[in-house]
Amino acid sequence: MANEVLDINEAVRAYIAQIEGLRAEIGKLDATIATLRQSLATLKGLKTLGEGKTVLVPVGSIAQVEMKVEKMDKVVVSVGQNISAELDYEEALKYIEDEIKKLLAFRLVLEQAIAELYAKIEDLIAETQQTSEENVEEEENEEKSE
Amino acid sequence: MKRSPNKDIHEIINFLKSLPEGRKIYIEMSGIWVEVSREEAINFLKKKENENESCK
Repeated sequence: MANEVLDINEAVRAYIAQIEGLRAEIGKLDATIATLRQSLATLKGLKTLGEGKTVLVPVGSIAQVEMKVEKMDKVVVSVGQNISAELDYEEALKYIEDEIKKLLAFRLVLEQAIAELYAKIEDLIAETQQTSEENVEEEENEEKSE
Repeated sequence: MKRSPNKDIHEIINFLKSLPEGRKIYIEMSGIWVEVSREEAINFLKKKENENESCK
């Protein structure tokens, strides 16, 4: 009985560790999604404000220099692996929106995995309760027969 | 301009191939973005893929 409980405790701890790992992944995804949404909002904002606007471009972490937005019909987008490509403004928005959709779909998969792990933990807890109830019953029967 | 470093190289190559002619493409090297042709970008990615495979 004691060994069984130890095994179950170990299994529950392993599941919890997996859940924590998945939650950390979700946290990273959320941060990336937030950055992409911010990019979308900034691009739309720049487009709305219009060409010729003065913007401050950061130079390192302390300085900023003034520049003018020359044109907003092309946007250079990072496509991964240290490569960036020039896209039309609308294409760039769609590219970023598609990236967000992909990340949200992946996030959903991770959430489902977490839900499955919680279900496994609940099964284990139910199993433990059942085992302990059976043991109590067994002990009571033994006492009665004595 | 940083994004997921693990994005599949083939996916990026296909994306670059799908772009219309004349689109500017850049490669980042030690913080400097260099304008390259589509072929140069694809060769860069293929070389990177070979390096990754030889490291495995």
